[in-house]
Amino acid sequence: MKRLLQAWRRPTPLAASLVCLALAIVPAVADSEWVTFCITLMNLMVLAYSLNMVVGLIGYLDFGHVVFWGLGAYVAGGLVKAQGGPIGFHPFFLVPFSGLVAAAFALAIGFPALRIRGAYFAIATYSINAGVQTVFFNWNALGGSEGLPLNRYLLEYPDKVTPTYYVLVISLFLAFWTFYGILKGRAGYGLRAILNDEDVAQTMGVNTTAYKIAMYALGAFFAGIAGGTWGLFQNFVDPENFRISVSVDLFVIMMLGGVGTALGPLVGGAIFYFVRDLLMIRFPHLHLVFFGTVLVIVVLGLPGGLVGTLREWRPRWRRVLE
Amino acid sequence: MELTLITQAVINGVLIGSVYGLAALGLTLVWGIMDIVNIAHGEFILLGAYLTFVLYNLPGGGVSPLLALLIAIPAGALVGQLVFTGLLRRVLGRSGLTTLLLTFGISICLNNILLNVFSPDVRTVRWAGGSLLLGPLVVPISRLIALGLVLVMSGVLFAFLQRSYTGKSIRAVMQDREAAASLGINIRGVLGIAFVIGTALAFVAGVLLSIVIPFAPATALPYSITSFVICVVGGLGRPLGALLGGLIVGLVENFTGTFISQAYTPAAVSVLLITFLLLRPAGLFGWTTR
Amino acid sequence: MSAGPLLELDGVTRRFGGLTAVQGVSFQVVEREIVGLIGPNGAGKTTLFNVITGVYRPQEGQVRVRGERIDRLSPHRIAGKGVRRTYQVVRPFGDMTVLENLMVGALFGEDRDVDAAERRVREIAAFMGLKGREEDLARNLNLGEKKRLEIARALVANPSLLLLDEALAGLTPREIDAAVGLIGRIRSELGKTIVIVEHVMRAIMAISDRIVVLHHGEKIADGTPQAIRADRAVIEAYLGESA
Repeated sequence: MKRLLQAWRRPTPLAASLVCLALAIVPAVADSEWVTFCITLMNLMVLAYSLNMVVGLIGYLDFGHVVFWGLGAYVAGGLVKAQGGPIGFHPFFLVPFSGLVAAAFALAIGFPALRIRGAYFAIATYSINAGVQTVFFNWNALGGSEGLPLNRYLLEYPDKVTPTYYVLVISLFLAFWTFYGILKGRAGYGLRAILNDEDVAQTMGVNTTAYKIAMYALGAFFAGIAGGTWGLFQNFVDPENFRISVSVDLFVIMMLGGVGTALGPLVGGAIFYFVRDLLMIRFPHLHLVFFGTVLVIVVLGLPGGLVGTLREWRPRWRRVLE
Repeated sequence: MELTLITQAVINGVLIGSVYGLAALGLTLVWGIMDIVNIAHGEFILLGAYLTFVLYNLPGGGVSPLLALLIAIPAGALVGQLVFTGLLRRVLGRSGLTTLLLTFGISICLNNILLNVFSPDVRTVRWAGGSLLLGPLVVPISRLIALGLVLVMSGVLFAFLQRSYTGKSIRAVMQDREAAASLGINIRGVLGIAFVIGTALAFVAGVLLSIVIPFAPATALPYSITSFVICVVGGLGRPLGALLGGLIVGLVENFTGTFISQAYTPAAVSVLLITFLLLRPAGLFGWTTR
Repeated sequence: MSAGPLLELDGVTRRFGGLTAVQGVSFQVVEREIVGLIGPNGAGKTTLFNVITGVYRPQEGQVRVRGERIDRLSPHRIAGKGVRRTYQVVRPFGDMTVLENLMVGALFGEDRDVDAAERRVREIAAFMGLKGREEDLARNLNLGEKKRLEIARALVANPSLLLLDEALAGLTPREIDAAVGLIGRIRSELGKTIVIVEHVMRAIMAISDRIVVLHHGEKIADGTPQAIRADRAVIEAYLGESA
């Protein structure tokens, strides 16, 4: 704990905290377009942190990570609908439930799934996401393939933007500090050991099963929170919340920023979103080709992403950029 | 009544499953020898399908899918060679994450190029329409032809792997890379050839799929997933396993579709995959370690 | 000092399919002893280590540490009982620095606190001759340094029992002499109990208090180095292999 408080002075957490502070002020100084822009951006960043916990910290390729985002959305939507009429309290207080349910799901499938490694795990998570999407596609009480509009249940709370914005800023702040705290503490060493050589880590006393499941659930929690917030923000949940393109975007962000780094999601998220916005306007149909190419180039040339590569460049930067 | 339903499901499962099996053959070869999972596999299959489509719809009569099959082989080989020398070769030594992301990126690019060139519309190649009617059972002729072609192509592949020097080298490298190297086999070269053959097989499978079921850029991912599942079920690097795995998946799909609901087929295939991953990760014919 | 032996193997048998790697092996190791484990290739030595550390479960027999049965525990639990090992083919955490490698060992050994762990780690690094190399990535070390890192990584956990698997393989004669001296000091200065698997005969004869000989998975001899040197069964086992 003491170390964590000392950590404020390090450049990385300081920078991240300033970014969150800057984001918090945006609604007061900028117009609604920027606010919406930042909402989408923060959603991506929180998701990137959540995925980074699984891919970056334990090295497991979670291609189906979007399932937690979708689950979060449906939990929020489902709870709102279950109430029927007026809720009595602000719906955004339901968001933590989204996170908890997603984490519970991760715990349930984590036990069998995390025994599988490498490409098999990636395919398995993809399959699980597809399976869950099918379930919601056929769940007519929650809208089935058409989706569930939430407007009628939330008439008392017309302003979705403000609470969404602040929930996301807080979530981003928490996501960063959770990630950073783990990275720098005892857990970080255990996780990196698992990343390097899982079998050796075990014989050194690292309870690999516990660590893997904990990170998977933690990642699911943050993804669930982002999903619940997004569902409420959009006033709508549907099976598209499980679309795989979200996972694609997240991987591009992580690779761009640097897998396993604390700054990666922020850097990658910002670049990705700005560039994508630009590209979408100019080349609405080809932007995915562009991102596929970017992924290929980054994999071949910049495997550590921007932050990772900069760290390798100068040893001194290794201490500054984490 | 029930018996008819079951028999029809079996027939459907076997017919489509054989083509699935061929589709997975290329993937299992590449995966077994290089430990590279080609996420773009579905896109390669699609390329074969679209190639057939374009040739079939050429003005002035069009080209028969049988001819397209013969063209698909060198076309697929060429694409495979380009991808291998241009991209894959550079990441051969690196971690699983790296290679997966590379093929992931390739898959995204290819998929979107296809999306832009051909639009998201679903296509078919209507050739050899009609079906054989055996009492209450329906056997589409196109699928019967596809089955025949699968058998022919598999036979050719097996003969190649068993008899030819290159084929034997491939099997050797798959079993024990170091031993093969010490026998003077050019490992890099063999890996390249395996990938080229794998891609050509994917193209051929695409040709066959195009005459059997509708396709679109969106179907690339399901093709990939089906092929992966088959590889896991059959065992990596085991061609016979791939064919058998294909039949199993085809049967699972059809039985689920007939007796539960068409909508739940992806879920059923997922369950099959996870079951194998947990209980027998090496697959039916795979080598078990420990 | 406790009364009973630190490590006890009692009729340990481990099979792999049709192959029996280890058959009914029993022996004891008391505290602060250095026991050498030798035998021709394929005798089952590394398998025995894998059984002790929990990577494999024995189909028959028991493994006990301080009287407590450990053969049914998972590897990380056994590590928690104070058992550490090195590997025949070194397996350092390549993408981490020397310091980070050692920190893993310490933080999952006796120290929970990062600062205390770091102090211990730097001490052991110096003891093992790795001072000055702390910030280098593990994969950039030469073989001798990597071997010392393996041992150091085990030591920083302050284990009761240290299992060294062919720690001397691939070293030059001078490095071997230095390593032998180091291992001796690990026992005398740090008070560790050591079981060492080795092929370099002169080294293991010099350093072991007692030697256990395995052949085709069975124990064929157990005694002092002098007794072993003269033992017929042992000589035949080795000669039989080379003849």
